[in-house]
Amino acid sequence: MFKRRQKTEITRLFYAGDVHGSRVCWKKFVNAAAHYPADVLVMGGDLCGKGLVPIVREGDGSYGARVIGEQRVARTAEELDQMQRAISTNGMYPLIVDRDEAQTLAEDAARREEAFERALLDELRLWVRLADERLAGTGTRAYVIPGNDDPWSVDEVLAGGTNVIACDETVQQIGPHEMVSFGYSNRTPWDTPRELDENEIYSRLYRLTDQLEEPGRAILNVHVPPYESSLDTAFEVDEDLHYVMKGGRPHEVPTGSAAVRQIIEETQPLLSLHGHIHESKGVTKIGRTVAINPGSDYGSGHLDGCLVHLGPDRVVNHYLVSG
Amino acid sequence: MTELGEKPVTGASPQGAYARKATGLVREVSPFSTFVFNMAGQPTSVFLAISIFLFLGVFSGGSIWLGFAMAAVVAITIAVCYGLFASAIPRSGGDYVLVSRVTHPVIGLVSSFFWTSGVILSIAFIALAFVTVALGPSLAAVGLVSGENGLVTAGNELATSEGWQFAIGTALILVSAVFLAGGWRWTTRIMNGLWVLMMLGLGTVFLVLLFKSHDGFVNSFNQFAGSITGEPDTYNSIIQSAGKEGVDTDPAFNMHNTWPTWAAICSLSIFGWLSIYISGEVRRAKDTTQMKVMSLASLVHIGIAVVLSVLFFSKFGHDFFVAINGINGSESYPFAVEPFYTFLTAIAGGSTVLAWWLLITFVAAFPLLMIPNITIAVRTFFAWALDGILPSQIARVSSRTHAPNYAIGLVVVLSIAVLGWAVTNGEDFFSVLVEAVLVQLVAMILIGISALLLPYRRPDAWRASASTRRFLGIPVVSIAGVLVAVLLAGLFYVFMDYSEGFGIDTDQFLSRDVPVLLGAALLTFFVARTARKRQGVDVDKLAAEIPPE
Repeated sequence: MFKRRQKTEITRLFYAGDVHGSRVCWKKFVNAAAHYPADVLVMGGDLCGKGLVPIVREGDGSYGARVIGEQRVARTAEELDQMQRAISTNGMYPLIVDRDEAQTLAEDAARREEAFERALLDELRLWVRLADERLAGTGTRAYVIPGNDDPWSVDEVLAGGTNVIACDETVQQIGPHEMVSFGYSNRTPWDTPRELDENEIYSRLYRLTDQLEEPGRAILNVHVPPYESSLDTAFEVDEDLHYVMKGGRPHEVPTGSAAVRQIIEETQPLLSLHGHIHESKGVTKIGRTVAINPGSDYGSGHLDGCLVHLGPDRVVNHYLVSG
Repeated sequence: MTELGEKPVTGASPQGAYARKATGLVREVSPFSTFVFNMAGQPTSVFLAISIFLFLGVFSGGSIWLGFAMAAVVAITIAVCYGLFASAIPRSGGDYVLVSRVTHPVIGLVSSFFWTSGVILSIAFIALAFVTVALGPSLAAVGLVSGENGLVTAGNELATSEGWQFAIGTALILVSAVFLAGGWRWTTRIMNGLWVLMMLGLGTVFLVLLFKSHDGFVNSFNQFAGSITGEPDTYNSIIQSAGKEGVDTDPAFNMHNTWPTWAAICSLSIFGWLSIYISGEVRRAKDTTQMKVMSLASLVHIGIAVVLSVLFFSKFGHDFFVAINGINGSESYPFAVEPFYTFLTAIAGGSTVLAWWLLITFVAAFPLLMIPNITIAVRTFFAWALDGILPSQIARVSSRTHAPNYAIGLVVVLSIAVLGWAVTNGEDFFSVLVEAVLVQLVAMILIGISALLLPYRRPDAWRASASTRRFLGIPVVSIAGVLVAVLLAGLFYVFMDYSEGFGIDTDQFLSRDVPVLLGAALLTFFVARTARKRQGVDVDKLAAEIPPE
């Protein structure tokens, strides 16, 4: 029932992923180290938001925006700040524009793409700076990878951190454990920036795990979950991105990566951490490997994550948390 | 965010945002299934059978119309308050999550101990009532209408045999749990099907009574009852019998007795908000959809109840309907079946096929009511386990269906144990059951108070929620929270003030039930906290929001 803590050297690891532009979730991720507490922070990809909300500057000095379906008006600097925070908490980027710019954005897809890119990179720079400041002097590092939804431009921003360690496609040492990180996903109907065929995922992951000195003590930090693991169940969609309906309901299918599953089965690391499929939250075992997807509900401003207590050779405890 | 159904390229969404090309994932429970879930927590057919008319004779002169109007005000206020609150914290776990995230985990646990104990008792009650109120009496009613004495005997045997009560009640709990273990896909399908069946039954009652005149009903009733009572005018003799037993069949309006009538109506009409227990699985939980769905569920329920009540009084006759409910259970009552509207409508229709159809549609409402109750308890235990209050095994989910099978198993075991007690100690059980309604009101009041505090304790969550509207400078969710707390405190007071009519032992409630539940909640919290501390984890932190600043 309630397991007793073993008197061994414990590495306390906090993992979360899929924060998708939610500034409050990022702040919580950074603060999780002191809150739970944790020795190591691991962020499993999909950092960038998916929505851009124009805040229109009106002639009378007020600002207007639709936030979660509600038309809101800000008349003071404080109210404007609150409006921006509300948008950011929901995982979207606020963008202050005048009426003409708003019209241009509505009509010109290229301008929207530019505005998005600018907004997400500005936001990510702020995140990295914030994490560097808050983790300074604590000895805690945040190991961060991009996910399939993140554009290539984020790599440079992440690489500029000091306490934020950009670790995609690397092997890092976390106490007595080596950690392999990998942010790509298999193919999705959305054709997102970082997708690979299964063969390519396998060969790249193989090259990484082949470097492990003690695979049995290792941690995999791989954005996409293993295929048919219960951590990868999502609704099936067709090429037009509509649900595939069976029996009058959306059809659920495993959407994870077969290559990731094969690597886990062959390597049998201690722990395997995943995200990508927000609603497929859970913990399972693949052989001796404890595989976890803590899910994501970034839009609510809550950070879904997992706190894992690792002994040298086993997972002592794990908790799915929502902070 | 690119959800399914929106365009996958950058473009304007209905919510005023531009969406980027990215993977989009959705929650499982549709707005329609959410509506059904909220309707299922207060099935209109069960409400019309057992919740109000039985009190007509007890609270003489109480206006059910005023009671309905007042209950609608309470139900809509709750829907607005809880709907807005859940949009700020759209997580599964209901009162526990909402109260603990805004106040403190231990207050959330006390709230959910109060609420969930009532839910477990309700599950046992639904299982018992499935046999004693639905199956048994309905079979006997079909037997009487069709002249099949074997069915009357079988129905009465079912309704009175402890063995059958336990066996069939247990079967209902197990079957409902199996549905839930099949995952949301199965559960919502079955619930929607049962709800449609119940609504078809109510629609049939509406049509039968709409096209039946009052005189026609009196003739049909006398023709039917004459063969049992041997009297040519049983209709009027029932009214006279009631008069002799002191039942005032045409009382003047009495405001004093309207309050408990309102309370009786509320007992199964202010629960159109139960989807807060599955908010994490509800689509569009972040906007005002859930609030609208809750409000609609409450209005549809009360609206149907009002329309059918008007028909009952006009077609059955006001005096007769009060009289037959007033003498139900006494020696003057001539039938082996309770005077539920299904029985009287079957008599009005004069058809065995109709009687069977009404039986099926009425019985369907009990598993419909059972499923959300089990779901609520399961989601609560699941949330406790995630926060480290219960062992983490309880939060494990099936790899195939994603159903929390350990939590379902725990609820099943507890419910069957309580059912066993209910079957063998009926009087004690019902005494505790009505008190459970009171402790649940306490939990609902705590949700209201937490909603009041939301903009002040969790300002970011409130600002990022569906509505930041203010009235006279005060956040609407806070105003709604105050109103909910005040209205429910008033309801609580009415139940206590009219405790004798409702069969509530106030001494037992205040000196035993409340302290026991409070003590159990505190003990559970502190035991869990101590156990987790030995594992190097602080339960207070697991259950709390990570401070972002």
